[in-house]
Amino acid sequence: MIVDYEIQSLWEWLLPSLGKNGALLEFVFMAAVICLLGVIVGYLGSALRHGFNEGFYRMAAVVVNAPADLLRIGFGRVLAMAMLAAQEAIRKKILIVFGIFVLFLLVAGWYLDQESDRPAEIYLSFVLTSTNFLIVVMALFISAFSLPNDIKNRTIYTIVTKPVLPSEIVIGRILGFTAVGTVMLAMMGGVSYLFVVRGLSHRHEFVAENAAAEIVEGKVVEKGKTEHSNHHSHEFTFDEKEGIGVTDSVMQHTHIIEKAGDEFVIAGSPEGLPPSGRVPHFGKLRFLNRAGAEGDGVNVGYEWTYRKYIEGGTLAAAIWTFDGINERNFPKGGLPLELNLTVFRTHKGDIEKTIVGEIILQNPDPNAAIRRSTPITFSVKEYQSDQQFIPRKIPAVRLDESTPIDVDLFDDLAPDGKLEVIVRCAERAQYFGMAQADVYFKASETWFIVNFFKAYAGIWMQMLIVICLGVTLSTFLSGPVAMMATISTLAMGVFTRFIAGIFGEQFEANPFLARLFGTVPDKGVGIPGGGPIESLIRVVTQKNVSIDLELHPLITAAISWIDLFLMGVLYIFTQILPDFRQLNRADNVATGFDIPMTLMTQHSLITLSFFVMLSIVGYFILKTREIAA
Amino acid sequence: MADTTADTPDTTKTDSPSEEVVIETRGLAKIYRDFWGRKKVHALKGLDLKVHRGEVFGLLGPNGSGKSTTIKLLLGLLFPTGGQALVFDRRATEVKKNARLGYLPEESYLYKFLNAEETLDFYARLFNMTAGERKARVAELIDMIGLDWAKRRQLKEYSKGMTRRIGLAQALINDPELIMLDEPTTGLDPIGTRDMKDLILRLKEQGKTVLMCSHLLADVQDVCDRIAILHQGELKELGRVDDLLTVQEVTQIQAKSLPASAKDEIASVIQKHGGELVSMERPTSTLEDLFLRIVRDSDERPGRRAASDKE
Repeated sequence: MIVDYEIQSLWEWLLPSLGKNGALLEFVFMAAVICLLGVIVGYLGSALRHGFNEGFYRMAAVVVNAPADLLRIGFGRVLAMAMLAAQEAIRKKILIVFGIFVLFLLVAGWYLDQESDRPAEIYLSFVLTSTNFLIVVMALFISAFSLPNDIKNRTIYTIVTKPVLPSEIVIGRILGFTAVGTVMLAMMGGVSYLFVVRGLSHRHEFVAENAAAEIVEGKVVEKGKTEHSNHHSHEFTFDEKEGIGVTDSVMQHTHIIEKAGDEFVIAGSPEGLPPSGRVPHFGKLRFLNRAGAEGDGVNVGYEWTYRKYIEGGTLAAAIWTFDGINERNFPKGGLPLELNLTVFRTHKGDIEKTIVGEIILQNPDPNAAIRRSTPITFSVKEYQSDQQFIPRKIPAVRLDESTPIDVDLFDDLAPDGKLEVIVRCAERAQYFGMAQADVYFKASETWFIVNFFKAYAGIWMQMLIVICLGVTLSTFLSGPVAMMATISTLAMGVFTRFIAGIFGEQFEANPFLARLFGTVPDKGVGIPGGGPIESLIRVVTQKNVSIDLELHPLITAAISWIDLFLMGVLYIFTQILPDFRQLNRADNVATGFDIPMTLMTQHSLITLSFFVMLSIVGYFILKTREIAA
Repeated sequence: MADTTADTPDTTKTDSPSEEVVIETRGLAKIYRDFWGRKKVHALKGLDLKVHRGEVFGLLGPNGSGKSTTIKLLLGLLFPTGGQALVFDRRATEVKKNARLGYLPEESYLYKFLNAEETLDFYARLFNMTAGERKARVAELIDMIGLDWAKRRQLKEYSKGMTRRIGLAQALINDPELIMLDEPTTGLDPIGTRDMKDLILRLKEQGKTVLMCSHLLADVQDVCDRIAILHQGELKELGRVDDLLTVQEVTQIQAKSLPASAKDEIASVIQKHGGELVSMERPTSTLEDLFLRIVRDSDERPGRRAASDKE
């Protein structure tokens, strides 16, 4: 449900700043490492064949000619190669994948949970995950087998004896397969869109005797219940005077109700299904303990301690500090606050009854004349997003007075754009659970279709990286091996953090290295237990990570150095690899959060750099490879 | 041919200095190694060759003699272990040389999922031809190889001879100055072989340089100006075909409608001049000639047994 990540602005991400290198510098560094590695491997290979001197000259010739070759890429020839690749993929009936996908959708009704409280999430995760999987697998197959087949069938002979540069062969293939994949993805996206929108769209019937007139706040309203259909029903209120009504939110959506003659009818499609992309404005979270002093939240005993809890009926509070609260960011005349809190109940009570809490808006400046709004009470509906619209004019208490007056939210409470939101639980012995990303202001919303498109763009980028990897690896590996290598590369990319954790822990435990070189970037949480050799010994001797190995200190040191070396190689390797989970933004769409443009830009740059680097690597390999050997 | 006793003419002797060298190899050597770099086969041992503009040059030798290796080295498909391979004065590994070169591989390695037109159009694109040029050139070549009736069929439906012709068309797509043919007549029926040989001679007339390799001796004899005979990676013989094949001490006379009495007379004349009559008999035609005559005859008068049995 929660999308918890920090979004850096493009420049923050790209440029070096305190404590981190920035993506650009890392790219340059990694490119340099790859170049150096390429030169060393190239020279060794060349020297093995031609001896040390001649080998050097041959390698130098390749390196010297490379920039001209890479810049001479001809559009016409790349296009020809791309068209060939596309034709190959199509004539080999790759479009069957689309058929499989449609088949998936046709039988989807059998296994999608129709009664879920979050139908949009289920529908969207399903289509996005299956599309992602099929597209990546397809990309793997078409990219890894094409070049090796050409070499095996020797069809490549008639190509490399034409004025075609190796780079054109590599890039042409990548682009051709990408074109086919793009068409396929577009078709899948179109079908999925219809599937989701039509699958979630529904109406309810009304029974006349269900409605009863009431007078609420001086207005005549009719209250009632819709028929139970599509596994749920709504309660609604209808304003006789305005001629419009609205239902409560069930399964993440509401309906607008109109009256046609004497009958109630549902107008249009459900509101909130499929979900539009909310643009959250996040704050920083801190806690007050039950005595009201700065402290931490409570762990209620769940193993996964993502959320912390505050106790009800005490001074414990969760305080979010927001920046940039002003009219420019929130032009709608107020603050749309959304809360996704969980509840931990120490006694059951009435399970249907919601737990009540309060929200106070506070100026972070302790000396401000107007410090706090009066408490706004709310109740936590579990597993549902609570939406509170805080109007611009709200009652607040001046420091020196006791009766509340109406103040301006932006001008008085957040004069410099800083605002604190204090959340408390009002009921004794009940707990509210929260993490930083649980409470935010909704800055704006993007259309569902836009967000949906962005998710597909994410899949597209994954596909492109897989194709680049597949094609480049297949310039020197046979088809099946190239495919396995691509899969391993992707799998290793997923474990980047884990490997960095192990390496970082060992590196910093080493008495010399840490002092000399400092800490390991991207280490994250250190993982104890050592590298491959130490962990193997621990597994065999059944010694867990917290006890000593009890070996001779010299042996321990040797093991540690070997492990460090192995993990170091892995670590450097993983720094170059793509982390696919990053590019997969299906969760955002499914849970209705906008995929930020800055993130999209970052991902596009990552993808582009993979395309460029892998094309260059592919060029060198194909250039120095004996095609007919 | 095996009895040829002619002197091996020196390479340099046949060179006239004005002639432009199109292909040159200097001490070209190739050793095939296995994965570990261990020597497996010494496929070519120090080959020195020069091919001049406008000549048809044949590489001749049994299987495994290094002819294909030589061609692959000249194309840059293989890298030399020693020596140099130069095409148009450039190293054979340079891509640029390919603009003026056409290559027909041993078997036509083509994309089976394309049809004839698409195939040729694809190769034409690799030379950056404009759409108009491509269309004209593709139509011209398809007409030349006589596959107009099958140009929309995918190559996987083609017979071996048909794919061979498409292969030839793709080699000529850029109107190359130099054409390398690897076993051009293998797998062709006698008519196809004849057509191929005619084509090679036509190319020669157009002033193109042709380098071909073959183990079919008759083919080489019919079209090549000069040949090199390779065996176990070494150059064994090099020179003009007519020089190499002329049997110096023998004179052959062919006459028509000669009465039997004249034969004795001729024999006595030979004896008088101190010569030795080796043989005097009716010449036999080659099977190839016979076959071609029958096929042509049957083309003219279909439905009958060939004219040969009338004789």
